[in-house]
Amino acid sequence: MIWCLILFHLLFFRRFYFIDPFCYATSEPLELEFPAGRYLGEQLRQGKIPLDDPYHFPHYASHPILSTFYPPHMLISVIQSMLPLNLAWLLHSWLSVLHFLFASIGAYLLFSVYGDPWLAFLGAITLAHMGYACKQNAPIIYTLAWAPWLLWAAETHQVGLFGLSLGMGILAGYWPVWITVVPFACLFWLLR
Amino acid sequence: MLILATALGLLIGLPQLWLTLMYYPKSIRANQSSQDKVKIGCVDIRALFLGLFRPDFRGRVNGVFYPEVCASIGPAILLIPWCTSWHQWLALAGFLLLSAGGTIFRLFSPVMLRIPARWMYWVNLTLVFMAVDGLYHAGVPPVFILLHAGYLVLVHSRLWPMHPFVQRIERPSRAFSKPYTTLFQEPWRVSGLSYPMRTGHVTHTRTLGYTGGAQLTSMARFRRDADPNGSGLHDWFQSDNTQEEANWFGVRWAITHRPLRAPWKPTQFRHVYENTQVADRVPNWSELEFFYGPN
Repeated sequence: MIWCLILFHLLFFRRFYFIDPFCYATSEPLELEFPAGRYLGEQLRQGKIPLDDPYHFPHYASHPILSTFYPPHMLISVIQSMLPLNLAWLLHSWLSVLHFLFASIGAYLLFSVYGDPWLAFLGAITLAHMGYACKQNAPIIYTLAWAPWLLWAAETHQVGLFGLSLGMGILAGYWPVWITVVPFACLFWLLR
Repeated sequence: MLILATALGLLIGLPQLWLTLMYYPKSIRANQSSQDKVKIGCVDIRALFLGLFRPDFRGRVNGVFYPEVCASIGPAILLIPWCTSWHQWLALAGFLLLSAGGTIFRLFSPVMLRIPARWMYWVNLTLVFMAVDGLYHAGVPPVFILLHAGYLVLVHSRLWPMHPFVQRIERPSRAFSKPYTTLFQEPWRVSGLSYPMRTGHVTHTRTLGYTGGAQLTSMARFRRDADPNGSGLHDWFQSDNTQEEANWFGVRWAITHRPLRAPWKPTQFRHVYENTQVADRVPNWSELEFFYGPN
């Protein structure tokens, strides 16, 4: 079924993968997230965590939406800061897009408890690509991708995965939703 | 075990949690009342209808962009009547009430960072759970699942990236190569940087600073920004700040269509002006906090 999820992912993001890989180069991803990630990468390469930023953000690392401490974002930022702009952008956007696939795999595992793979497939593709999840901002995509993993960990009482998902959601940085996800995930754990 | 799992998660998230919680009291967010949070983004019947059934709709709904209320799950919504889980129905009702921004939202508002529509995530998630439960009980043929997948591929894929209320799509190599950036030098600041150069990170240009919803209270005071969600202005001349303040803050260049007079002089680039009275020394953010901070 994982191949079905990958196929669905490729079809859903067909424009990005097969037609125009720069179709996502617009709005806040291009104006805010990509430049801020490049700055983060430059600072990390110098061995510094950007606690401050002379260009735009006083207290840079204090803004959760900049995903300063989110490990995949840190890694990609370091690499993209060494690349020409267009290639760097592609790397930045691949990370966002791949999080949709990551979310659908987590959702598939979550709905697998029903014991029917087709039912889990419907739940997986719907949860990962529901209206609210189809955002273009990287921190929102990163954060929401961890929600099904957190709920699956709560469902199956996996301490390590629950802690990892919870922590990664915090580091990913879209707190307006994550601040509500955590108590409900705890409730989910207690009710199952 | 749950306490251990939660403690592990908080430990992983500690670097961000610590810095953000230290920053929060310094930002304008700390001053937001529950009244400020319901000024925009309350989900009423119209917003709910658009959010559930019109993923093709584009524009603003009750002051927020459409994606804030979009909770479409495609044809799977037809399965919801078969959902037998009473606690999912109860949860749906609760989340709808929270997203409406009424009394219940205000009770929770100290922990909610901004607008009621953010609860639509939970409305959306609950609908997915209900659809899965409905499918489990309804026994719908697999062809329905394929049709549903096809709908998501054809319709929901158009939600990403957001159109048409976004700026033009442009390759970064082109978008960030404006000739006038060669003029700007550190440590001085530039007013009116255009999209997508507003953060200055790619071209290493110092901007007027962040003026969005989580800006420093000191920045809001200095810029005389009374908007509880931050004005987001990048243009010095759209604020009430004086020429003396521009000189002190180190605003040496301005990109504007206004014909500026002395002490601003034109440069070799159209619509780019230079401040001839700017101070030699530019204050950093800490000095701004020192002079304009809450205490």
